Amino acid sequence: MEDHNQPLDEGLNSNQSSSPGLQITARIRQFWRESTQWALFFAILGFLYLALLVFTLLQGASSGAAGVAGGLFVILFAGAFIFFPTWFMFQFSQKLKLGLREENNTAAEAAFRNLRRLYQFAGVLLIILLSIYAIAFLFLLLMMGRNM
Amino acid sequence: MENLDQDISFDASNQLAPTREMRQNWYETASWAKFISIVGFIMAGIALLLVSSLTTIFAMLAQMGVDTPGLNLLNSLGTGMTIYMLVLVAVQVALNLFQYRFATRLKTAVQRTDQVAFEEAWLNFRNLFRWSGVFLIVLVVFYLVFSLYLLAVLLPTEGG
Repeated sequence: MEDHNQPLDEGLNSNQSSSPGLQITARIRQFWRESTQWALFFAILGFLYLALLVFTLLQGASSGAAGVAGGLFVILFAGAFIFFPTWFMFQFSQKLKLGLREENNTAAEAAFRNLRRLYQFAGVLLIILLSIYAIAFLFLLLMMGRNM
Repeated sequence: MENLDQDISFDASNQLAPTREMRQNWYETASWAKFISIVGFIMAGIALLLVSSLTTIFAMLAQMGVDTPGLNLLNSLGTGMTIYMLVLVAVQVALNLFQYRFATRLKTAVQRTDQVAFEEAWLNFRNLFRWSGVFLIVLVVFYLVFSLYLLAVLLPTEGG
């Protein structure tokens, strides 16, 4: 028989564990700690790559208006494709480190929110790329059909 | 009579604990990670097919007696490129496997409150990050060495 006497908002309090079964053990903490270090490394590489890109574009921009326009285009493109995942990775690393150090659930929540955003971003980008490939493939088939 | 360990009892309010928001984020992360890893496996398969077909095409052209400088160059690079591509595909498959295991284990952990799956998920996540990092370091070093080698080869030619 189902228990209908539970309050409607039971389990909606985000400050309390809604799953007494899942525990953040010492082993998991160790995995998270190591993951934050690697995530920081990836983020630093990403920022370095962006800095290199901007530096190269600034040099190219000295070649005239076309260089400036091309540079701006690439910066916006790189901003979309590199900056956001790098930023999410950096935030994940820093927030999880803080969460582990200070036993701070809010920081840990922010860390996993950023990890979710990172994966979401990569997934959406992959869907867009696959769609472009599919359209290009269909276009190619159509052109080949016309030429035959 | 009091328990000896009464004063050192576990205080849940000061410890990290999985919250509802964390579980939601883990579940969504797992879904995206699974999707990305499956696409990764398909891409690795396509890359493997391409590598094998390129080798076959080069061999067929060589048998047909086609002899152009471009083809000869590609042929000389062929074996090295094939090995390089195969290593890249192997690494991609290995990393995807960690990603897939992370995704499926995390989903199971959240859905069924399975502690063993929860630990395995984060072990695979750590492995994914660790081996991606090692691979990235190797790749960066490889490109740096290759760039230096190219510079060393090209500079004396330009100077002379």
